[in-house]
Amino acid sequence: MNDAIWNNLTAHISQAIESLPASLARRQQMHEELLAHLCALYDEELERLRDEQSAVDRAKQRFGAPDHLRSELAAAVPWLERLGLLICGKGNIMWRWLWIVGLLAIFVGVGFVLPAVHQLRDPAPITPSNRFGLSVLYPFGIVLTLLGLGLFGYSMVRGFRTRNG
Amino acid sequence: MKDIRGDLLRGHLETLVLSMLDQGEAHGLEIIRRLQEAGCGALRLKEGSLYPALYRLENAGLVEATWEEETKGRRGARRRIYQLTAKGTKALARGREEWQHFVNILGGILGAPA
Repeated sequence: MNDAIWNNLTAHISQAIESLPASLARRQQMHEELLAHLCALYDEELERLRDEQSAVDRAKQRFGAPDHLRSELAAAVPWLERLGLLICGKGNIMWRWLWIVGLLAIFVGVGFVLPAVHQLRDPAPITPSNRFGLSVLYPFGIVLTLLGLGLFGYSMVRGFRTRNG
Repeated sequence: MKDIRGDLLRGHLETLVLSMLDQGEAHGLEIIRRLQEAGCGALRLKEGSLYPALYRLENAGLVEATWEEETKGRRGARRRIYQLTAKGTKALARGREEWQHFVNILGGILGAPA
């Protein structure tokens, strides 16, 4: 196999792999394995067709289009790895900050809601000092939690979209 | 015989792969060969599509893979050899049962029993 053909086959695989939302190690592993398969297909087709360019075309055809393959491979990446990349990966700085603020808002909001729920479930009569907590801090906690959930969800979706182009 | 293409195989590919690996460990190209032989040449699958299925099976612990040492003719690009795990063997048995049930029910409805 000459350099031009090798580069051609490598480029076909790289198109499918390079923007995949997966760790570098996983992408390298996929690249090597898929390339080995495509090279084997090329060898088979070269033996059959006796023409290098036709063998490259036929091998690629048998293997499948990079765009289609990319979406299938992306779906095979574990969601925890995708999530890790979204939080720690390069190029997601703004969404990462929104994600952190959203998460903090959820924690603080729940911190207000849970004691209020505990007081409501307590059979003892509500004292005036508790009434303030229930009428002000409880709704505040709910609003903050909902706001955090919204921010968290929005930053996740935008982060995924940014990453996947 | 009419070809069976990728879209029709969707949802069954993973069980089919498990079934091919039940015959013994194999790399991707060998799995495709076994599938084509078992399907009498009627299965038409884009060969790259096999790998997402293999990765899903590996993530689920149904197969395990080791790198092959031999790289002859592939400029150092290695293949991975896949084999069934005990969990994969159980999943295959379950997949066969589910398929039998599916065929029996739909065959009865369509008036074309298996």
